[in-house]
Amino acid sequence: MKKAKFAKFCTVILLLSSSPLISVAAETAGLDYERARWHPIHFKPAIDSATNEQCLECHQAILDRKVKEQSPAGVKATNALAWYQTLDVYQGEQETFHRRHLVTPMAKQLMNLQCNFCHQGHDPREEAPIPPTTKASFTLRKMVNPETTCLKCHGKYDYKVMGLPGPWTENGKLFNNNCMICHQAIRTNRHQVTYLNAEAIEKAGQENSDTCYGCHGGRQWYRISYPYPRHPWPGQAPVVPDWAKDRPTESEARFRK
Amino acid sequence: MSNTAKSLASRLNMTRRSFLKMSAGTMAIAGGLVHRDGKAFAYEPYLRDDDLTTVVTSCAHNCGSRHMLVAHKKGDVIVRLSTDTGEYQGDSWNTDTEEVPQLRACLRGRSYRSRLYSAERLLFPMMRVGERGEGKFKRVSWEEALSFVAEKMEYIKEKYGPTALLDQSYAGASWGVLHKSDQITGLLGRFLGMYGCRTSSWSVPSYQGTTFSSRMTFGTIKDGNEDDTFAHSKLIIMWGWNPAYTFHGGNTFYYMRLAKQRGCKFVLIDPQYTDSASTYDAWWIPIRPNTDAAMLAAMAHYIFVNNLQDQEFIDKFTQGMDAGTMPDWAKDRENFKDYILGTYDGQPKSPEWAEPICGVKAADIKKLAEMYATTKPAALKASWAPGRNAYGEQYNRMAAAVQAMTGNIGVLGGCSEGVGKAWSPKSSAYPQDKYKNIWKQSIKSDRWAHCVLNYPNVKREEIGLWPRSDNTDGQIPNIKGIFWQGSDWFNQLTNINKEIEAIKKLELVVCMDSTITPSGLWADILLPIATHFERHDAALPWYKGHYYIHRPKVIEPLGESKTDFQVFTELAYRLGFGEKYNPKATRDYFDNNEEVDEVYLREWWENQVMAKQHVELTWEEFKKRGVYKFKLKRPHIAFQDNVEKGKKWYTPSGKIEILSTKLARYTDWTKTAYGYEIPAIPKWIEPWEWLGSEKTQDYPFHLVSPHPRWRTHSIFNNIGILRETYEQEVTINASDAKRLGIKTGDTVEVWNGRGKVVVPAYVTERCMPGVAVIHEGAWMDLDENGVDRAGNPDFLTDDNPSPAGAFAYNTVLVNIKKTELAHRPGWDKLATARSQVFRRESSF
Amino acid sequence: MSETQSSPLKIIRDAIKRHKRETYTPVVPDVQFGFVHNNVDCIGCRACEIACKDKNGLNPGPRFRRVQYIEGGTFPEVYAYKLNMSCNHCAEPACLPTCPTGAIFKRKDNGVVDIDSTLCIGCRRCEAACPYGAPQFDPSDGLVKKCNMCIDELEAGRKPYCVMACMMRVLDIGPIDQIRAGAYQTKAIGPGETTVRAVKNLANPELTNPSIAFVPHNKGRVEEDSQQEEN
Repeated sequence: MKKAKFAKFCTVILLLSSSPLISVAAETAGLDYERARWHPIHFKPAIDSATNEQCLECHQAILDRKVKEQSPAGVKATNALAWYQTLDVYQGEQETFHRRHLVTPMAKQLMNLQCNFCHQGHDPREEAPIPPTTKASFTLRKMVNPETTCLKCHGKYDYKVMGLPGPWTENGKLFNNNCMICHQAIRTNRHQVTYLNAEAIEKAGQENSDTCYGCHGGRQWYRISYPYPRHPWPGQAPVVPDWAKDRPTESEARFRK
Repeated sequence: MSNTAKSLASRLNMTRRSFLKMSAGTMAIAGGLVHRDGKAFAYEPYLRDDDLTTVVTSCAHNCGSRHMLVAHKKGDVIVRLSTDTGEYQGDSWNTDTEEVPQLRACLRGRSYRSRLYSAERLLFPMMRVGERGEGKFKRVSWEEALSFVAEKMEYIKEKYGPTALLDQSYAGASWGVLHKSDQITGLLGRFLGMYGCRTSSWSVPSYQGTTFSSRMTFGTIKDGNEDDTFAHSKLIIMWGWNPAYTFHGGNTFYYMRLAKQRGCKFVLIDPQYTDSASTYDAWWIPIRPNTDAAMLAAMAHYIFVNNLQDQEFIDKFTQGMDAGTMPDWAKDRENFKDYILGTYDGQPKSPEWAEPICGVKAADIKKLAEMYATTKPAALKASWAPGRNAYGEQYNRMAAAVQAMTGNIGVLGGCSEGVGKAWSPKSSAYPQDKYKNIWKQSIKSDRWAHCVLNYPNVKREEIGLWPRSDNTDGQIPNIKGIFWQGSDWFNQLTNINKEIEAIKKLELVVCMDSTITPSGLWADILLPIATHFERHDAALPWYKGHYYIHRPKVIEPLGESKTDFQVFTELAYRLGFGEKYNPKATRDYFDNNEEVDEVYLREWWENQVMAKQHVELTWEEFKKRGVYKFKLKRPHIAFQDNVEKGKKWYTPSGKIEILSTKLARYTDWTKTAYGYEIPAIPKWIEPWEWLGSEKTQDYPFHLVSPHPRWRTHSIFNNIGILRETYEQEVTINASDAKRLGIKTGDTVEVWNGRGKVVVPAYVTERCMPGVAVIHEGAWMDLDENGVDRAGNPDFLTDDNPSPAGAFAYNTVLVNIKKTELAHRPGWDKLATARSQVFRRESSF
Repeated sequence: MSETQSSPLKIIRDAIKRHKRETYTPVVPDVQFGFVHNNVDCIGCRACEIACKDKNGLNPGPRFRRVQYIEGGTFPEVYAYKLNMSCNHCAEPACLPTCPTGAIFKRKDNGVVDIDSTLCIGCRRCEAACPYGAPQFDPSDGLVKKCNMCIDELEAGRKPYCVMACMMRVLDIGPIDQIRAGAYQTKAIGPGETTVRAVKNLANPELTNPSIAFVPHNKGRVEEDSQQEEN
């Protein structure tokens, strides 16, 4: 590491004191990496109130870094096709995972993801919580548990639950590829959570169902779906179907508006 | 279907049906606009093992084992390393039986390529240009370097006499049958001895208390069973033993898994719940460090009081176990049983007596004693670490007494270790003639700094001067120079701050190694030594395991490095005794050593291995295969013939000497190498620092510094791929940490009157309260105030050895607090793992 | 080069785009190979890890295989065990469909999920998608790499370096169905021992159906945890 950069790196870390909103860079000239990585902001409870600005003071590189223009064998990024790029509504370049979720125009328009939406604190040893549990916010070898993060937006929707005759890819045409034909009425308030821009999503969904499909329809690369809370909507039948039993009826407190 | 797929299927034990279902070919997913299908490897052409030249060799560092490494090379470059697959001895691929197991290398061995090609590799002779210890060197030619050393040697010998050069070679990175560094049969000892100027270092840091005990009790250090015998025990008591960390000998750790599968129960006596405890599902009995002899005495008490001892074994084979086994000449002396029962001092050494000393409940001591005395066969493995203490020899002597009183010696599944050295390989390929191990004086190894700093006002007992039979007996050596060969002792001996004071008084410090080491930074001259990949030799396990591994020259020596044998031979020629030193060599050996080395090695194989160990495999065939594994006619069990056939033990009495004839007959202890009295029977003696001492008011933690898994002592500390797998940290119990306000990851300083180190803390329930653990071997890294930022515990250890010579590495009290001082985790932080991840200018 | 409405390249592009958008069918291998690891008898020595690093020429940083140390209890009633994973070569890998360049693929013959890092542009989506931390970003070249079960060794009729490195013989590979059924002869599973699909702290195996089996420690059993919570 170059000296100037290292010095800067050292100065950006600090003791998180009473207010979690103070600059993480405020104190601590000379605090080394050994100490920095054990800084309380990386753990509960401080991480729950950490702002993106605080995180990025040290971790800005995660957004500065872009994909390589081409792979070692010559595959050009402009020729690569990520799944989301197959959508009509998507505009823009090939992007890295973090930029795609945080700073691309579509991310800014529809989402309000915070670093701590996924990163909920983990052991810097990247080993297990003590004692072992099935209820960890991170899993072995992984800082983030996809089951409680990624699945909140991406995941397989059971077409049978939705009452469709088959998968959307085969049956979408029957509905003119328009989710709103049904979901104009059958609505939940699921988008009313802090990590999404609900109004913008509603608007975008009205304009083009590709936006809906972008999150809910494709990317079926996890075999299970997220047990969303079952918010009743006006006129909803009082009977809870089997698939929805045992589900919570409210979003997690930390995401409620 | 191809043949390879077929053989894979059959090797993987697949059913015929699934095997027929396999088909060749791969399929790329049309994920994007790929312009070709994905291939197996990121970089083409990828050299598969079968495209490379395969050379069988071994690891070479000082851990007691030697496991197989197989170099896969292209041209003169080793591309990767693998290990034994069973096929090199001529069996089919993956043969791995209980009788002939594979010799699989550990993580340290597997990292050897990183060591071989490390940035720390010494490639040229280097001469110091700054102050000693400042670490500034310039490159010089071999001619300059050797002339400098030879001239200095002549000057020092002339001016200060025949004891002025201290031999600190050790079995570090340089150990084979031909290129060997150790104190007794090593190349340096022969070189300095023949030159006529040598003070040797007689106590072995790892286990001097243990070897002393075995020599006194059994008359030999070969008290060990072979590794496979552990599979036959019904109870294994691991006393301070952590084979899951040390990989100590052959396949010991694996045979213990087999024992577990056969119903063996395990017990661990240790301040830490180690990975050995968890793997073998052991009953963990946490014990205060340095109190092991007291607990063993209490077990003996329980066994005697309940008459559980094997009296027939005692009567037949022991001396001094009880009144009935006392020899006539010692009838008025203390016997062991009466000491235990308190006949002499009115204090029975009962479990209740031991409880407050050891921190172990009396009920647990009784339960363990009952288990051990009634389970047959049972192995009480009294390992080395509890012997690296003040009066550590008493622990090992006490353990041997308990082993003997239960009759667990000389039987399959029992254990009389101790040292543990078992089957004996033929270990020297160069002359073991009258020039072997000539020494003018010999001192306890950890007393050199004390000797240098106080010369000439030093008493012989302070430095453990070995007695001589000539008129130089008792002369204090006037040490003015040190040779390090394959040793990093400056970093590894006790009380480094005292060493730093002493080394400033020397006039010549020579370091011979393949990498720069922390010791090397304090040298005047650095001589680059070829690694074992770069010279011809053979490997053997000196501790357990019965095999030889051939070590051909795999690649040409890097840079200008030469073998240590070449360097000593060349220096010997310059000093006038080259022909005697290396009788098979010619004057050009420095540039041309291969033919000579081949002759030495072939003669070793033919005249020693083939002639004396019933081996029929020829030298040429051995070289071709790369390994020879012995199939022993019966499991090798120490003292089996003594028990079954009445063979005498190698002690003065021919018996297991619980009462030592030698010790009982010393009258003037100052004239012995020990310097201070050692009781003739094993006794609990209070150490000078422990949790029961008043010193705990200032220093409330007892520090132990066990061997790490990720280094062999200090070797491999610079290897990034190992370095990223651990922290050099202090382990403390959660309740202690809470009291001190310390959490895992906090940087703390650990200090006492001898020094201070800075390390991160690891807070756990797996460590006994009051105990702190820092693994030995971190490469020292001093700040401007002399604080070690790397966390080398030997800044805290005491250079005062136990009377029998045991290093008191584990007799250390310290204090701990959170600190603002910096910890530096590696030799070069930016070259180590985590910094690689966090190097911000990269495209992270 | 501009593409007209009817140019062949444009047609191919659109077809691929449509295909990718609408279908993802995981490869169903002829035989799915997987790892088996004994959590209890593993001494945690990491010989497998270092053998892997050396074989794959990795610097400090990316670690294809990682042995993890798990501990619990209160002094002196403590316990510890190990968990050892590289890539689990999932039946339905989450990494694969995230890749924009086709660098990740699943082999039809043995189910190995392989990556050709020369096709990687470093977007790190696979790294995020994998529930088990298998894809490893290498900061020295900005590429993602991962375990391919030493496919070169498999093709040569041998087992991967990690398996052949295991000093305790507690890590092995084989047809995962046979391993789970107890029908596969391996030293990794001791007499009387059975395997499970998941242990505590492992991401939910329902996500991707990873091809790995563990001989669990009693304290690592998932079932025990739910029982405790009921109590």
